[in-house]
Amino acid sequence: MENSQADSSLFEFQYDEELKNSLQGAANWAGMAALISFASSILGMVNFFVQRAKMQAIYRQYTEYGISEPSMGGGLISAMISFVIGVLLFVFLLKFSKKTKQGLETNETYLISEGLSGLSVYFRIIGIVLIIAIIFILLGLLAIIGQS
Amino acid sequence: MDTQQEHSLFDMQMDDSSQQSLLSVSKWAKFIAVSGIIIGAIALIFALAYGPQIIQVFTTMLKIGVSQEEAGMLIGVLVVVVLLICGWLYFLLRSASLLNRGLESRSSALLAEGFRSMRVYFVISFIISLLSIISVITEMI
Repeated sequence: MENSQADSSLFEFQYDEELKNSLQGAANWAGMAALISFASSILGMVNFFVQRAKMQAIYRQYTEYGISEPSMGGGLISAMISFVIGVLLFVFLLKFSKKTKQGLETNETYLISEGLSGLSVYFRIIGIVLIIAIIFILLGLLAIIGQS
Repeated sequence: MDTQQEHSLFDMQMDDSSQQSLLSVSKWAKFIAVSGIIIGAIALIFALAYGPQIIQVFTTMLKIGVSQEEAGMLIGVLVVVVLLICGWLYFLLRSASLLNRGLESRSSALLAEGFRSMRVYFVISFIISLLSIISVITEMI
């Protein structure tokens, strides 16, 4: 009984050709998605500074009419947080892509295992960010209800 | 020769650590997809409840010089984005469910199907990021 169970647990999760191919496909697209999303994060950061410079130039024109420039510190903090999250997601998704592809090429299961742990961290980060966002949305709604 | 065959049979088995990671992927992906669907449903309810005001915003835009083609394009882009997000969440949920079922029933065929769904999820993520880059470049120019 014990032997058959041990045999079954050894053979049930073989990386067969079908599983290898689908994992390879997911890893390939994950790598491309990681790179383009990283480019998008960098461009988003650059765009933040470009738009801020444009706004500062506009406000500078109106200073003589007594209109002061509003603080843009909050915007910078949220842009930095988005950028850091973007970089973290890029690192772990790229880890999944690279390690999994290496593991499939060299038949090294520990590399695939490392890749899958990267994918697990990637989804965990998104989940935690989502939980924090939901908490902020709920707090905002409570504040609006409290005011009215 | 026999040793080589045995080696190729044994060296590509999914270890416990990989199974734990996949279980975690499945749980978090399900949470993200379900939360996204709930948030989307709430947004849809708000959009339906404030439908007249939204139409008024578009009417105002038409009055302030936004042409009908531009307003139509804006609606078209919104529809494409909503469809992409729906597909994105659907494939994420499908992938999470298949991976979980694959792990529970110890079926590599279900795991393979789960990774195929995940590939579609990454393809849609790629398209969304590409659209985001195009939108940022347009804003900068």
